[in-house]
Amino acid sequence: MRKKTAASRTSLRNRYMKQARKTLGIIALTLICLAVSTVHATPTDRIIIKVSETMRPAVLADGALAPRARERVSSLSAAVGHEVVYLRAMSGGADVVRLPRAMPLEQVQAMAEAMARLPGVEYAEPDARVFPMEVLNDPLFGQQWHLQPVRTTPPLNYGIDAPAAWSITTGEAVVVAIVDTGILFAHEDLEGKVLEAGYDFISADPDGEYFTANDGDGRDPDPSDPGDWVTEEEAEERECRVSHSSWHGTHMAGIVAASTSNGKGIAGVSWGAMILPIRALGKCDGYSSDVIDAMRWAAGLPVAGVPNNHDAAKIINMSLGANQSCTGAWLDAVNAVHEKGSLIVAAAGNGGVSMSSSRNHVVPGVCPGVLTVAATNKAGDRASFSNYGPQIDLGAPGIWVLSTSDQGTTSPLDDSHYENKSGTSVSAPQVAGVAALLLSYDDSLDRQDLIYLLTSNVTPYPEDSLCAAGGGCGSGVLNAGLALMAVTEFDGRPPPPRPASSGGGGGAISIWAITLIFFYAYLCIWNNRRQALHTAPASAP
Amino acid sequence: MMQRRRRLVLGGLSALLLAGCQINGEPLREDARVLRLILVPVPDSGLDPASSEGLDRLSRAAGTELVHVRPMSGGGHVLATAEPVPVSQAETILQRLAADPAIAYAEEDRRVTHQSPE
Repeated sequence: MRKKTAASRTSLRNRYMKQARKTLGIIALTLICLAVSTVHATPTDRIIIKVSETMRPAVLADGALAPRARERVSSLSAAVGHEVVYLRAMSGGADVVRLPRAMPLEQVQAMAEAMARLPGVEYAEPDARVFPMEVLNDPLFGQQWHLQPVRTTPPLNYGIDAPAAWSITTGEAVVVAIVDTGILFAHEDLEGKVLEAGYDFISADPDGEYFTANDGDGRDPDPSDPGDWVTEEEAEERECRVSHSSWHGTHMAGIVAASTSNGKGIAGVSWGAMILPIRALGKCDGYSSDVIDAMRWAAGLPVAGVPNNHDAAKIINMSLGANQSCTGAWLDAVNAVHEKGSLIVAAAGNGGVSMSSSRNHVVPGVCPGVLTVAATNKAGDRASFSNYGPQIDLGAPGIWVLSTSDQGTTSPLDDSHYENKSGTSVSAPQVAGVAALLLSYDDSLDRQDLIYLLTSNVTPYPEDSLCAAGGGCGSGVLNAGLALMAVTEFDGRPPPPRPASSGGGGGAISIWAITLIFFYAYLCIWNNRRQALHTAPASAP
Repeated sequence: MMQRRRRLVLGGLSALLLAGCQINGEPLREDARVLRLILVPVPDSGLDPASSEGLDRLSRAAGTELVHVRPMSGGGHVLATAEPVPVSQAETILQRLAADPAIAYAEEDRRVTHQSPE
């Protein structure tokens, strides 16, 4: 009897093991499906659907929406799991329906297939975004991984999908201020992209010399970059690092708005926009007091002794930082700029540390209301050097970002060189560039609208990434295509409700999905076990 | 034997004390630098850091002579110590200034760096 019971237990265990293996297999397959379904391409919010001739009167009657059309649309909603709205009739007897928001093309394709399976539907397909036939002829565009569409299968490429946004706008009539080391006006790929009305805010050093300025004088209307190299002797005397000239401001300017489709160099994120160059960093970097004045001036606020800025910028890029908390002068200035309606986009900083500790604070990134950007890599995870923490709003590519530069190690050679740079510095101007695209499409968007659109229309961080595991990287990786598609939704329908809290929401749906799968698997195992226990005595020999 | 060991211990202790005296006799030299600071007066306080009167008052409050560098946006002023001050004194100077009811805040004019490490 004991032997028989043992045999039946072994049999039961084997069945449980088999069942568990099967369930694990299902989970693995589902996870793979989920992973594949997060592949992103040019997003769209529309589907073209054609119903059969016999069903047609149910949709349109005499050119107007038929009484039962809404019911049919609700059956479409049920089929795809999202609310679908009838948009308009098309030529050739087809109709266009609209989804609640723009979604990656692969996801919309799956929905269209679900619609096509409904009775009476001849076909349904995504209303894919159509690009102008103009092909970018910038020879280095292929090397700008950060601009490319998102690829979540190997080789991974978590770019910002700029081409999808360019089908809507390229950023015309928007001014982006770049507070940095100045600009190389003569660079071939910045021709016609830089406003001449910039300013040099670097004042005299405490000893009365112009070491930091390096142009022989203090403040003046010429924001040209004379170079910021530091010799060994200077580094020792001034307590800073030996370095070649960085051409940092020129690099940031190229990322935002390099001339595009001009047969030269690279493409800019917002190549229709104009750059307002403001010089505040020089040799051994710069003073907070100069940077703060520059930031206020960029927004159109008055600065004593400096002519008023007639090209006030709604977007101010600050790929810089000082290691301190946001109090006093910084806080006052940031608040004043916000009151003026300008958006400050700031680099998170490169310490690779959590900014939740006040000793790791970097201004202006930690200031309230500033859009703070962490650096991400091709795999869509946080770059090792990037700061992180609750102040981060989103991530953007920050490793090997190609942009405009110069080969001069001291003074500029004006050789229109191109160079890769890494750092949270190069992440911020991509966000500033997409903000410019949004503002170009709809100039009524305010600072809060921009922050909302940029942070809520992102590529989710991969599930196995540091960022998805609460890594303090904000809501996801910047996605120009999704952000622009979202702003088009402001036409004729209200934007979706704003989330109660920002940050970390990117992988939320997937986490819920996995939790549900595991719960379902647990229920299956529990149910099978219960059934087996009931049937075991009867099946025992 | 015990006596010898005691003498050795005493000798060692004396040597340590002597070394300590030597250290105390020659204090470590601390780095000194010109402190550059941002100061914002309370509106309507009547304090004008650009005037010689205002500067005298601020120098007295700081406990060291200050010079006016330039006015700033937002009603602030950039000041600097006339001479280099020990690094450890910087915080004390700022705290003494902040204690003046005519001053909204005083903070170090810190260096700002770009965020692309070479």
